[in-house]
Amino acid sequence: MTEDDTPRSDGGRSVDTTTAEADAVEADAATAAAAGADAPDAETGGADGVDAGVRPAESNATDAFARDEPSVEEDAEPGRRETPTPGGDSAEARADSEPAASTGPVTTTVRSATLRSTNHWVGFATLAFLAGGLGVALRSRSLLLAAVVGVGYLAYANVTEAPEPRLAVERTLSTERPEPGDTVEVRVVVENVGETVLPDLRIVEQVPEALAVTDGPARTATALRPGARMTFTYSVLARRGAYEFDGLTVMARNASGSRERECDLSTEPISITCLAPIDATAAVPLRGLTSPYTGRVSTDTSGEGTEFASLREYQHGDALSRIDWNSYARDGTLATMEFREERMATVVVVLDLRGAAYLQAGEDGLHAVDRGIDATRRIFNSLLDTGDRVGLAAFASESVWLAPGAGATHQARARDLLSTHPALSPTPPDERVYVRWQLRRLHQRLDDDAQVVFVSPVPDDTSTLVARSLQVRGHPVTVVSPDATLRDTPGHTLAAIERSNRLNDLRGSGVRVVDWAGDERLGEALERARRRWSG
Amino acid sequence: MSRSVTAVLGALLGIIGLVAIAVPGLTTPLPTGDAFVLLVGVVLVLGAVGQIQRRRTTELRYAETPDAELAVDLPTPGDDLDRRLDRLRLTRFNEAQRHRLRDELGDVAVTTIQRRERCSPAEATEALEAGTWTDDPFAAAFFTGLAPDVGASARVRELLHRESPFKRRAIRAIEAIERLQEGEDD
Repeated sequence: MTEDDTPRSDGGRSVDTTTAEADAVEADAATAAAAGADAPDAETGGADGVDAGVRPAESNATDAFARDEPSVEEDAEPGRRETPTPGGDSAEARADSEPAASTGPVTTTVRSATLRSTNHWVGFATLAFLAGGLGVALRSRSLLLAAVVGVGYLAYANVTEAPEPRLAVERTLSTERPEPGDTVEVRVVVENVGETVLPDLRIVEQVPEALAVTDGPARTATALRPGARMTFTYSVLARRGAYEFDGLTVMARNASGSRERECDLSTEPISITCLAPIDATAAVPLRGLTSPYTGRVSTDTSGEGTEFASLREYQHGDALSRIDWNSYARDGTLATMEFREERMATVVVVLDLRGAAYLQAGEDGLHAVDRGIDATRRIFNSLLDTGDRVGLAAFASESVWLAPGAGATHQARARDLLSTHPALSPTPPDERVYVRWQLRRLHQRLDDDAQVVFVSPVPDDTSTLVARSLQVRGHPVTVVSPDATLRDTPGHTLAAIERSNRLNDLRGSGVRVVDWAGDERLGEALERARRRWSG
Repeated sequence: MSRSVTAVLGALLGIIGLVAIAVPGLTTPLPTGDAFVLLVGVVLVLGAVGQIQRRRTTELRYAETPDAELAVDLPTPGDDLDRRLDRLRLTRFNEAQRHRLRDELGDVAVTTIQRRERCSPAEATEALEAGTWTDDPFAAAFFTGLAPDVGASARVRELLHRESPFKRRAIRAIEAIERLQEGEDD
């Protein structure tokens, strides 16, 4: 029965549907209990040789009904599970209501489908053979009759084909812009818009990989008559990022369960965008450095500033306010005070988003990349607050670059990038990350005097190579390293030792390292590092 | 195709059978000798045996439903090494695998000794090969490849241990490296 496996062209559909309907009628006759009895009436009408010309009108009517139905249903029983609409009601709704503007379940398209035999009934023929054989050999009429029962079951099992599910799906989210940590309720309405009964339908939601379901399974099993619909709800925990719900995995079996069709359905996409909170900061101590803009980094150059540096002989044109009047009172010479110049730093925060950086200490909590992105956001905000120019870059499967800048717009842009850029997803990238190429690119992009804050769990020697390479090119590097290691098993311990050695190695080559333990707040780790550097 | 042919054939035979109830004369030409009937019976029973065999060799093939509810699971650094250490029991005689493990641990040990003793890599390697870098004779023996410098009772205890001596020593070597490193931090 592999003929039905071939994709149906539009022209051939009406013919095929007829046979499918005939199947459904048979299936229904056999399993009236499973699927309900009143559906076939409408269908046999269809199967009795109504040609393709009439059919579109009928499906239009179904569509109109589909568009209308939610309001009817929601009035009656909002947010309930399992609300199959009785056949009679649906007919009424179809007749009475005008097509409304509200969106209902939208027809899905099949991305891929496989048809297979489940082998559920394989071997059942044993009974028929055995009863028949013994009946013949022993000339027993009752045994021979028993074989007929077995043959009947076999016919039931093998005659029908798995139905081709034609579903319309509507997904509603309790909110599309949750805060991180919020629970988002997802309500999925599935309607059978095809003309065949789906006696055994299993639906599994394609939840975005990074989201964990907190309440209710994101799946359901049901039987749907044409026009019937059902609803299931589940909740996911929102986390930073943009996520799209756009698919369902559907398994449809025939009534006997001998054949099965597995489909990957593409539904109308709906997305959650979860932006990280804007106000969090954590000040990272910067290196003394020069840039032509005033800012908070002290330099060793004397000039304009607030912190006293030295005295020099008065030169014509020096501002009166900078003359050291004490010295004039003492010995009558004019001297000009010099202050340490404070300049604005240019900092680029570079994230390590290679597959190797996606590590997690144990089962719970945030993984290293999530912590790194959180740290990046805080460091970015705090640097902006202190008047520095900050940019963003990453070693990722896609290009991530936000040129150093300042101001509210820049901050908003960075927040958006850190929350929703696809390369910053909480799941590891599938593609290879070309570190050397990206490093060269970064070198080109960095201003000569730019500092680098490299946020990486330092999982391998490549990350130390990156930090050292930037440092050697004259960009002072501070590595902020979320620690994802544990010391509970020999293997974990060795990995932790290796990481510790790597960090030590980095310190040896002049790179500043902030080792951020898993149970520590970023501020504490930075404070500890600051003391270490100044001490 | 053959399925539909057999189905049609079966249906035809069924109809003939039903008609034969009304018109018994239809089936009189069929042989009804004891031997023939017994043969038909045996063939059918053999068919039953064949079906049992078929069931035994056929797997059920239901679609696997994906795990939609679980968020992505990420590794902890060192998971791979733990797995390889666990597998040692199965590949007890896999010399290449042991060499690889010894080399990897050796690299970490050399770096840590260097860091601790502030010496050159050559000196660190020397210390590792001589076994002078740690007080633990078993950890030292892991890298020297010699018998650990301990009494007979300790050797026997090691042999009776649940884990293989190699794994046991590898774990002790890791612990020794850790001690060395923690000493450095103080």
